[in-house]
Amino acid sequence: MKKYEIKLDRRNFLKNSVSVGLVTIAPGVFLQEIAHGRSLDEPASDKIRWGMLIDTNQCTEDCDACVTACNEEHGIEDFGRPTTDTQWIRKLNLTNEFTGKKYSLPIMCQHCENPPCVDVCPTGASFKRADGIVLVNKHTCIGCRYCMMSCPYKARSFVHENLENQLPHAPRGKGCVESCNLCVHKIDNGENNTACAEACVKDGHQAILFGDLNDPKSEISKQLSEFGAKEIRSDLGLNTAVRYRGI
Amino acid sequence: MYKKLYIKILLTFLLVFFSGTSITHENISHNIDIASGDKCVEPTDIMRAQHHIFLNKQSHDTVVDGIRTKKYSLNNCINCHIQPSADGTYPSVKSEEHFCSGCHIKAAAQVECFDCHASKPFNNVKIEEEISKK
Repeated sequence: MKKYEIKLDRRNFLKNSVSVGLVTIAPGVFLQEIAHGRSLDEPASDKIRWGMLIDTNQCTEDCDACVTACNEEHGIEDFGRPTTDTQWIRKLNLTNEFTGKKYSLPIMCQHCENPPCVDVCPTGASFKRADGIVLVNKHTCIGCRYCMMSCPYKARSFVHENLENQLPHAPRGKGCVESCNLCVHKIDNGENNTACAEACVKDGHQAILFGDLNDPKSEISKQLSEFGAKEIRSDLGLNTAVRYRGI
Repeated sequence: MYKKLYIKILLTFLLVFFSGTSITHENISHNIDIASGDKCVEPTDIMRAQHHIFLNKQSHDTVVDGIRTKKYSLNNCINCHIQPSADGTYPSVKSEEHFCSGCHIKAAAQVECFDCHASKPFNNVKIEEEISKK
């Protein structure tokens, strides 16, 4: 058997110490990369929890840029039937009866930590992904609509119409339930932002902030810890990932 | 004696006729994008027999785990295999000119992929026109 000798002269010592230094730096750099843009073949990580912070003071009553952007991003058509048309985001305009203050806010799937839609789904189609996004697996959805009944936020829609010309990144079809997916295709491609948040910034409101709730250095976590925010129906104990400020 | 020979000839004829045409579909020619490569992601015989297994696994990996590798994705199939005809339009998924439907209609195997998934590449002239109109 060949014996390996390690020469500990000055040159080798320096070479080894540099490589050890590189190895110890590398894991930190690598972790940073996972948090902000994983590669395409990597599954979603439970170290991340995606969420949104909505500042209702920045949101105006006459603006529906987020709704339009969402519809365009996912190819959601309007069939002129408001009772059954698909709706991933809806704008809610409220007035406090006592003070008279008006509020305007977008409501979408709140991506609960304990989602009731997942509890009631008979086929397991409604599920929570590792990074906290609540989704419908349309391959297993049978369209029973129990999830729609269980959702306290009225966030889900059933597709009643035959659809054509769907977008490649947003497969949608008649007979399935669907809701806001936090632009999961954008997250998986490393864009880490949603169409509604982009549209809101573009329109000059900056009412929607998207980010990682688990990362204390993210803008959303900083704002949450500094100013706080409410969850709608916090009494249900669902721990939503979409939080509202100013309500 | 003649009856047996007759049956044998008939059986041979049937075997040759059906194995050559309806099972392997080697006579079907398609308009495939040569520019994106001269080979599919797997050899042709494997793709013919197992493409649904690859697609099923990929659909689960993508929806549940968020894995978006291109190799076995349905969009990757469509981008290469569905090409516009001379007049610039893409074949409808209901016609036999569509790569997937070409075999599935002949084999009477009804697939539901395109009830939800796009049956043509996104950089479709028609869709771009529709978006610019809006």
